[in-house]
Amino acid sequence: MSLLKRQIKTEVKKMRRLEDEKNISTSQPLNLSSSVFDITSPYIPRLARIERITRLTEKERLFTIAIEDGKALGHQPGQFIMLSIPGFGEAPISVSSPPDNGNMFELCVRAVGNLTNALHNLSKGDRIWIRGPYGKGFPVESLKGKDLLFISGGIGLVPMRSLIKTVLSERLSYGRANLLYGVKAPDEILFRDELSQWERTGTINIQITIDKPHPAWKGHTGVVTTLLPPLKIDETKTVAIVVGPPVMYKYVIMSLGDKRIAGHDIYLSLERRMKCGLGKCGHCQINSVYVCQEGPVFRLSDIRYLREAI
Amino acid sequence: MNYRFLSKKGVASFVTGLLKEFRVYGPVKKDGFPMYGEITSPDELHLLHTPTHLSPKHYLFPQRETLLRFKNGENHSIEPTVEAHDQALFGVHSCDIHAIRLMDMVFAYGTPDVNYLKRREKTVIIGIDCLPDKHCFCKSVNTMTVDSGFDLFLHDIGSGFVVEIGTRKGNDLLYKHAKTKKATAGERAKMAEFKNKKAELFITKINAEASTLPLLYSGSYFSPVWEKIGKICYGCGSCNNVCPTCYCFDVRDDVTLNLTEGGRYRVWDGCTLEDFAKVAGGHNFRKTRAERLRHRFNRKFQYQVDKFGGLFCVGCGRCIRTCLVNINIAEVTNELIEETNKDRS
Amino acid sequence: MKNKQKPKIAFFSFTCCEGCQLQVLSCEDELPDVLSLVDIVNFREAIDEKRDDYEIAFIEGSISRTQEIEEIKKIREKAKIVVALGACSATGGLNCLKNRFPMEEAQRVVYGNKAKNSKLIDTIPARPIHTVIPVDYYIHGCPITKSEFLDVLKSLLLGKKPDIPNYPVCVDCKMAGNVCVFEKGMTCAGPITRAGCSAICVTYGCVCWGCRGLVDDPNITAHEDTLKRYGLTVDGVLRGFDLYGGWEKYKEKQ
Ligand SMILES: Cc1cc2nc3c(=O)[nH]c(=O)nc-3n(C[C@H](O)[C@H](O)[C@H](O)COP(=O)(O)OP(=O)(O)OC[C@H]3O[C@@H](n4cnc5c(N)ncnc54)[C@H](O)[C@@H]3O)c2cc1C
Ligand code: SF4
Ligand code: SF4
Ligand code: SF4
Ligand code: SF4
Ligand code: SF4
Ligand code: FES
Repeated sequence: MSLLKRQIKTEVKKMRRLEDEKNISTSQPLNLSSSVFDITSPYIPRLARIERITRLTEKERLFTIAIEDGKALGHQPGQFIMLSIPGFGEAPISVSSPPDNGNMFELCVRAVGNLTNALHNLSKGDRIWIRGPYGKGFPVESLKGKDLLFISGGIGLVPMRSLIKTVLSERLSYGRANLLYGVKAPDEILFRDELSQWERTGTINIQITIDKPHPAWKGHTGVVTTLLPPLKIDETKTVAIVVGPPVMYKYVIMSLGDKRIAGHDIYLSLERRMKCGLGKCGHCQINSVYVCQEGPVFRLSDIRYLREAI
Repeated sequence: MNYRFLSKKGVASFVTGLLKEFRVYGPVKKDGFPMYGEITSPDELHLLHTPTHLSPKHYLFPQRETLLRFKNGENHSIEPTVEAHDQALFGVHSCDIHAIRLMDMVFAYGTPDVNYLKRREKTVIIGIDCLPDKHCFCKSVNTMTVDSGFDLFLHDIGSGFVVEIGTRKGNDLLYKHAKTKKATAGERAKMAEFKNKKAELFITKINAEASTLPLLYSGSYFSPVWEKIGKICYGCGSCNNVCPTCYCFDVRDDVTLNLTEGGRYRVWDGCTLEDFAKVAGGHNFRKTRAERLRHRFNRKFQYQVDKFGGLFCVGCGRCIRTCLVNINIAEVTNELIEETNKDRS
Repeated sequence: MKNKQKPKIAFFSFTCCEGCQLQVLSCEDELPDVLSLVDIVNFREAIDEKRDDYEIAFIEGSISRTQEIEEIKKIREKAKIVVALGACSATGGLNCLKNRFPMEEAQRVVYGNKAKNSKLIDTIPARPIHTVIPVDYYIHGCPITKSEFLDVLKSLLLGKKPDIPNYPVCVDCKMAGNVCVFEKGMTCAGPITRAGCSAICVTYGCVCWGCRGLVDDPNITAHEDTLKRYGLTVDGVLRGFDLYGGWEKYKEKQ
């Protein structure tokens, strides 16, 4: 927080200084080309194409995207992009693949509205627009050496997958890893193949639960918090990473408290409505924090004082 | 600082000069009420006046503005658009100049917003002394006077104006288009006279130091006041739309009838409107009007202060005037002050 | 779009002044473009030909006779998408004014004494079409605005959900730069009425009558208080709501 504040202050100071200089050097109404703000509009997207589409469930598909200029996206796990299709608007979507030097990355999108439905109607080779990456992701470096407890609900697995894959690519740098994953029904489980592959290789311990009993489900039933009490963890070296729908956080945080995991060892990714990704439009604001800038990933101890966060 | 004297008559020829270079916007009468409007002659201006019903923010941050235009399909193209022209805002009040400075900060910090900043850059701001109406409370939030953020400022001294020069640009315009003389010490002393008189005129006041308000608001999150005003609020967004420091927006796409060309535009949005914080799946992070009003008030007195270091209410009183159910941001603040004092004793 | 068959659209009219269809017809400049995107297969006001293979049905007018119920149900069966066109269809509109009187009286006033017991011109309380069939989208207004009609049409052709505002007319009104009519001693339905019309009535010197119906969550109590505070009597307040809110009122009484 305080670092960010300082950053803003210097930004503003810088701007003021530039303005002052401008006032001295220009006597006539400024002409555009001499402008200190002569930079490209942050709303201009980069072009990208759909390379591959994989159907994951009824409502979710995985899109492999290639950026046309050949450059890498340059994201961190937990960051998001603003995705758009001209005519259908923009929406924030988490990057689901781990950081990568190539120009490809993956998005997993649930069809819920105008843009997301339109995306599902596109085919391989079709063009989309992207801006970003935006926001602050997971603190990958500071997770090293820790036991990791991933808790995810529904589509929350999407941003988490980027982190899990990052961890798995350097597995020895981290301690034990548990993934607790809750969904409404068996046919809503995302990344089934990958989950069972991770499980098989034994590098991460996975437990899946379904909200309510279902004829096609033999595993655990109940909300995701019901998986926590029996779990053996070392609270002194465990960091919990929690991503899910808004209603899930309160209960998971309480259960983690029962496990004696401290607020500074819990990371969350929060969802809000987002219209700019630039800290301007106001939609993502929680009290004094802009989720698109300071989030979507937060450390619980940093947002405990934010009354509307959870 | 450089001060010049400009006669009342001289103002007219100055404006006429400006009209040759700029589109000029200033306070005019619309249906008998003070409003901003484009003028074509100095006669249309109404200078010594109470605040306009709507703020001048739309000249810098239009109600709707295109961010980019696109063509889809084979001739795919994206073209950024910046709709900016040379403009002069004539007769801006102290509160609104403070507001513009806050808006500049908002749009410049982090990733600069080119659309706003380009327009801002092409704007000349000429301030003027004003009189409070019954809703103004700039004195309570320290925006009754202003020492920067304008190119020129016209201080009313009765016999004419003492022009305070804020920037080189303002200076050059004044020399180019107006006949002025150096303001005498006597004339400059009269500036203070006006200020002192104005300071006596306020009906609406906040009963605490401005610097204590962020803390006050922080401690009043659970106050019953929010429910009370939430109950009578329409959620109509008028307070957002008239406020010179409300800048939230929505971004939408528009296509032409061939369905392949179109534009992306932004349009004013307001945190008091029902759908402002609603996300996919229908979850609304500020479902009730009480929560939304608390958010708006806190944005003015606490949240944005944390971020930018200054109060985001400049005391213009417009949201008070516009609210049909008489929700009064100054009175509500006073209620919070009273509550807090009671709690303490 | 190119290779696909053009979607077929149809227009139907029930109890109303057909003013909304006229608005559609007034899209002269846009009509060629519209026709390159869709086939209009049924439009009494404009074309003689009539076909029943439409995908999108725009329905104007409210339902105020039993016979109309059967007709509109048939349309619903054939159309993939039904759009209510205009206030009469979307909220019942002005037609609901008659609901304030006993039906026999309305019948007598409109059709004369002979009308009693006639099956052909039986009259039932006027109602919006969504009370009879499921409606996908609404174009509000009395009459509708041409630009909103075109926006909805474009959205449907792109496969988007049309963007119908859920905020009050005051938002449009402020953006249009109007002086609020309450300042001038008049009263207005803007604070509880659904926007989307650019507050055209206020802009042109009148007040908002609420022709676009209520927003999703209107604060009616607040508005009653406001109207009273600005000098209207309880009766006057209620009458204010009746003009376009007739169906809501009638429903409440039942
Ligand atoms: C940081 C972040 C990361 C996300 N990551 C993913 C992801 O990886 N995969 C995924 O499928 N979804 C993700 N979402 C949710 C996704 O942004 C929304 O589902 C999407 O905005 C819906 O857009 P639409 O145009 O399809 O729906 P719309 O037609 O716009 O609206 C449908 C519903 O969504 C609401 N809505 C509109 N705009 C937004 C918005 N910007 N954010 C949330 N809700 C909105 C509307 O109020 C409405 O109720 C993420 C959201 C955030 C904030
Ligand atoms: S609030 Fe102050 S500066 Fe603004 S118009 Fe009123 S008196 Fe003038
Ligand atoms: S406070 Fe007043 S102006 Fe603001 S939304 Fe509520 S009713 Fe409208
Ligand atoms: S909150 Fe109200 S008084 Fe304060 S600046 Fe905005 S409109 Fe003016
Ligand atoms: S005139 Fe009517 S619509 Fe406009 S702001 Fe006033 S109440 Fe709202
Ligand atoms: S201003 Fe009111 S009456 Fe006029 S068109 Fe809009 S909603 Fe209808
Ligand atoms: S998304 Fe616009 S401020 Fe965060």
